[in-house]
Amino acid sequence: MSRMNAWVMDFGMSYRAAVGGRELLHLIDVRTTFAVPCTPSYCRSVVFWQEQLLPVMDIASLLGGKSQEAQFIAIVGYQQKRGEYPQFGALMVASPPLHVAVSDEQACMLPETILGWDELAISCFDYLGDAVPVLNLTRLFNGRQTSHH
Amino acid sequence: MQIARYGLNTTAALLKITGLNLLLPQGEIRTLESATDVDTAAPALNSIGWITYTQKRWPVYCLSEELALMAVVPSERRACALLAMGAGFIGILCDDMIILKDIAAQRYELPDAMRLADTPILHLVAYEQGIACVTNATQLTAYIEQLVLNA
Repeated sequence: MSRMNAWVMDFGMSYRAAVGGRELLHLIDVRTTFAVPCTPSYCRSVVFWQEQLLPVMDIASLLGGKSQEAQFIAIVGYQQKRGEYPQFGALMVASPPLHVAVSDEQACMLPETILGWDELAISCFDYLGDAVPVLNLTRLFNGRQTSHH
Repeated sequence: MQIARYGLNTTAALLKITGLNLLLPQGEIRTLESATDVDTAAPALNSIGWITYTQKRWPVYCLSEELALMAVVPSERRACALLAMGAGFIGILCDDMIILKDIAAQRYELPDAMRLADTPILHLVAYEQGIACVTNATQLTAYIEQLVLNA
């Protein structure tokens, strides 16, 4: 039975998902973001982090909810291919992420009540009775998303 | 994401539109007039009035900090920057314009996840404690033209 670590994130409005244990790098203050005009409703601002300018993704808005007042910005890192230099992005989160250990037995179907997870999630696991999608960060940050508004 | 320095040894014009810092090559701003010189009588479609330059009248547009057309002019729009558009000109209201000489700011590509097909924003630069959005007269006037036609 293999186990992995994950961070469960609350995006507000009951939208939750996880990233891998090594994908969450930093939590920073939401006041450091800057709005950019003519951008999608779910990705309207950027944040400076380690001399890079990162897009800030509002998952709740992307999945059809209202744009949220984020409490924190979570900096995440991901690789398109193993061995490549990592890329970085930022997620608006409503509360500090929760560190959990996940086993194969917890694998489950994506939540059916919310459209859009099939485009954004790479897998899903059961956590205390709730289905928690695991974000595909490469897909999320590398291209246009279908907004579910 | 960061790839180059913005226009080292070039001079840029920074238009301030509420919280937006919009950066253009300085040479693309033909003139800066007072917003009080705008004639608001019988404005063109979705414009807020006319400005006179080279003995002709050119339409003036008011944009929000999200770069949407505004029908009501906020009191802080005190200046009108005139940009070349094809063989003519258009005016854009702004709060203020600052000339930045020999600007040497770090340039950042607009992230893929944020890029819409019709965006006039070419890239971003660090400016003071925030960012400035870089565009040029060709991109900005084409964008406004589409806004006017689709409004």
